[in-house]
Amino acid sequence: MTHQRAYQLDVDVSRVGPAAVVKVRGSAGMNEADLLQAELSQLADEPKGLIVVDMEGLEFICSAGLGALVNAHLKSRDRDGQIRLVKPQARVLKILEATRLDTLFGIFADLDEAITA
Amino acid sequence: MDEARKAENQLLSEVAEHGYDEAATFAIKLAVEEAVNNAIKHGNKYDRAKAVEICFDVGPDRAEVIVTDEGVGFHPENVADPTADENLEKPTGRGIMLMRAYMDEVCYNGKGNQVRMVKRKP
Repeated sequence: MTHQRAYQLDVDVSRVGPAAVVKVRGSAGMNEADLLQAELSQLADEPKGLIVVDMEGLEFICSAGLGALVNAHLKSRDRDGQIRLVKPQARVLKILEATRLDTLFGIFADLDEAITA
Repeated sequence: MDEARKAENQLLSEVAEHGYDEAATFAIKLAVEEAVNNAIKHGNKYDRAKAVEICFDVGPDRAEVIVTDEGVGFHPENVADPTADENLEKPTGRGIMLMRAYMDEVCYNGKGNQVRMVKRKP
């Protein structure tokens, strides 16, 4: 499924093996964080689910977008699931590092690796 | 929110016109998103009757942004460090930290309902 908004965020969800792969593209700013939150929250409901967020196309994220990731992490963990992040762009990775969220999420350089790790 | 986005886009257009690099543009966008989000959410508490004022002055050497809300204000020094171990899993509370990390100057007025931020052109 695909969702688009006028400003900038696209979220595509597909199934790859055991994982729900969430490909995000564009900007997860204050207006778009709710979309990310809704998609991730729904996926995080799945018991023992693996959510892999492909961030290669994500050019921007603010604290609201980070909050969507953290909320989904908490929800998923409650159901024995987990969220992994793949290929964040340098500026997005810097934000993850500045907030120390890189210590909360597994961050992978390759989608296959993230799915099979 | 749409009006805030219009103001942000206008600001970023001026930033581009003055030749700020991608890193500085990213920083300004991030800081304004955080400041406006805080103003709407924590300052005005989503009260549509209350306004958020965004003023900016983009020059060849520095960009200054002032965001003001109509809330009661707050004491930024009382905001918990979101990078502390005990706060890492909190979904909120990272906005001010990011503003400070990405802008060269961030200061609040005494009431705590106005933030002034400066990014110097690299």
